[in-house]
Amino acid sequence: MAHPNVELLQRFLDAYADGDREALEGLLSPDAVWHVGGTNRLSGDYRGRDAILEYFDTVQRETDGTLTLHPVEVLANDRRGAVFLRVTAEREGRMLDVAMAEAFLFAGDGSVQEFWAHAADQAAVDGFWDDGEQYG
Amino acid sequence: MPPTRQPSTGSGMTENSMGDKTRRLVEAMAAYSRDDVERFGELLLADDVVWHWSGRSSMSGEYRGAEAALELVRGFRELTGNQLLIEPIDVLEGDDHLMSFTHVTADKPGEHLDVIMTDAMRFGPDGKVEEFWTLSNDQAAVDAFIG
Repeated sequence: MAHPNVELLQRFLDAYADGDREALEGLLSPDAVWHVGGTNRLSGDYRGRDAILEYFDTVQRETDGTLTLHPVEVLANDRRGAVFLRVTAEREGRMLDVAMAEAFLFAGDGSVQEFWAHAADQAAVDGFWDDGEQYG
Repeated sequence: MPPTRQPSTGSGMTENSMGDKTRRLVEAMAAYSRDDVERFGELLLADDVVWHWSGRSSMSGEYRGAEAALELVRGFRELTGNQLLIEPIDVLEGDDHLMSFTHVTADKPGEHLDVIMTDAMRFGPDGKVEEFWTLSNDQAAVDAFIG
């Protein structure tokens, strides 16, 4: 039987896939922190549930709802979790398809406290979000 | 020599109940702590490993192949000298992946590092790591320390 926090992560991934903002809200601790890596304009730390949900909204709006998570393996124990996945998206004619490793810290009450991640090809992610000519 | 401890899930995991990937990581880290970086590579890294080092420091980027990866490992060791302490906190092991959380403290003149670092690994069919990510929830602190 899967660890309860594996199920928590799966619920989180499902809610993200469904665009279920209410479910996502329930799975985030009010003071959760989301560390978004890279050097693009969305990179940085998002502090608090509202800021994180707004970040999710921005991502979906800018990709016209095409950003999709394809989980490969979900691992968790009582305190920490890991999701290995592929992320695909389309934005203004650009395609993104990268492998990512995501780390989670749980609040201990069935919600996520902290998130940090890194893409296999971070440059591709940065180029996908930024409009600078350096990325073509 | 930096002291290291056995990784633990914190829930009574003993060496006997470790998975193969965790066991291999523990062996490799033991070699690393003996300053035997060659052995660390032999135990853990596939020849065509790709190692992604997160952040915006001089070490950040992508290292392709075991030789390049070992240069990265040596570089990090040299940067921190013997003042690097890696204390395992948690290991999550699955069918193809492993994620390890360590408390890393390091000192160099005028600088002190104290962060949780995360090593994420994808293992190939021969039991060695083909893809490796090193990241932190306080990447800015890691970047500032490395420079």
